[in-house]
Amino acid sequence: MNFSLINELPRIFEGVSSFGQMDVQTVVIRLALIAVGLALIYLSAKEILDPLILMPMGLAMALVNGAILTMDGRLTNLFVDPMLAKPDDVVNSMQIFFLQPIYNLTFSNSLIACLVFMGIGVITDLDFLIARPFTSILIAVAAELGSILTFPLAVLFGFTYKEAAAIAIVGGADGPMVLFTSLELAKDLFVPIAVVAYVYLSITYAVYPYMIKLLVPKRMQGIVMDLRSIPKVSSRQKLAFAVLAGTVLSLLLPVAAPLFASFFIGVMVKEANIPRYRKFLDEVVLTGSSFFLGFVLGALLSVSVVTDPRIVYILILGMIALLLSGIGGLIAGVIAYWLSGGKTNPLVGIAGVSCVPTTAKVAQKCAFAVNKKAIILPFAMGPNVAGVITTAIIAGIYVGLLRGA
Amino acid sequence: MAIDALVFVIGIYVLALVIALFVGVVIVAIRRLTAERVKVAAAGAESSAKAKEATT
Repeated sequence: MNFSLINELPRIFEGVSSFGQMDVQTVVIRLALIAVGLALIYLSAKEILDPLILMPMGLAMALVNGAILTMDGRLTNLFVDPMLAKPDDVVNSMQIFFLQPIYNLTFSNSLIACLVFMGIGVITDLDFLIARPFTSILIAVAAELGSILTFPLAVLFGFTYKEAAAIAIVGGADGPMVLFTSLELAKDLFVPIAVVAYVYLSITYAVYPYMIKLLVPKRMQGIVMDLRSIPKVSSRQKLAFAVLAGTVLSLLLPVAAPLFASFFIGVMVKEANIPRYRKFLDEVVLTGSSFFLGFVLGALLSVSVVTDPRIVYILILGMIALLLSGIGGLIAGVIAYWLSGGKTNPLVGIAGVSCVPTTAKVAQKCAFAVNKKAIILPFAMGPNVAGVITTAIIAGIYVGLLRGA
Repeated sequence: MAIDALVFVIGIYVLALVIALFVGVVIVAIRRLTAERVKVAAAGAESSAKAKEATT
């Protein structure tokens, strides 16, 4: 064998030499994806963005777009190939792509969304929802404005009804729900929609306070709410709610039953006070699924997958959806303020956008910034949890209506 | 087409509102039922205490 090392360098450093096999546009997108991945890591490390999901996502994005090589005559990577459809190809790919088993066994069937939901259920506080159900639910329904009005906008942008529904549900600000809906209705757009949703959800913590300052008068922001006005809710009542609501919602919307089952089993474990299960769902299931969610989503953002130019529209529509939901929630909060004779802090409205518990914390943070005595977090958790339920209902209706269309 | 989509989605919004309010009704029902049970239990405890007092 007569090897010339210089001549073989392109085969050794395939990640670099693969640039030469791409057109200019693909090279630019590839470099941009690496840059975005590195930016996500930087912003997560600075805690400007949520590091739990976005740090592993950023690392995977940067690495997967660097590690491109030629296999069977086409450019690919050794992380994951989401484009495979034939069962034989999927089974064979599990011997090659190291994240393929996780993608096929947890992403393709929405299991990852359900695992995250189990974890959310076990950290959810139901007290205010059960104490003030109609206030919480009406605020949460108003905070679904983005999930609704983005739908016709997406249709206007040229998306089909299925794709429009998958994009619109970003307005529900609930990561697992976005995964579920896009996997059910728009599998081709699943990667861009899911990534846009998770990036935007992590910046809601930074963007919503500005929206609050813009839309709610300062004197209203610092209103103190009386914690003693929350009636006591027993664990038994919360347990009964989890069982009954889960059963009724599954009966009404069977397509969303896996999500309801996952959420309410988390709630049940918490309220039944089974410490070992509680610890397992919180520390193992939620932590593990969040980690793999971020890492696999990042690995899916390879230049060979992200070729759909409509990603720009998804970016615009995702932002519109979250802004509309925030505005809807705040309008409902102001109405609650007037109806309660000034006793309700309108900032609880923003918590109707169901990013549990981020938006409730945003409400508390903004109220606290104006008045150090304003403790509104327990009140904000009501619309926050109701938001999870209303988003699941809307996702269930979208999927039920459009799945067979 | 967008108008059709708007009409379609308003229908979905109303349906979601109705289902969400139904969840609210379920919560109120649970609270009423458990409150009744608490009252019955309290009344039972009170009467048994009275009965015990009468026998002693």
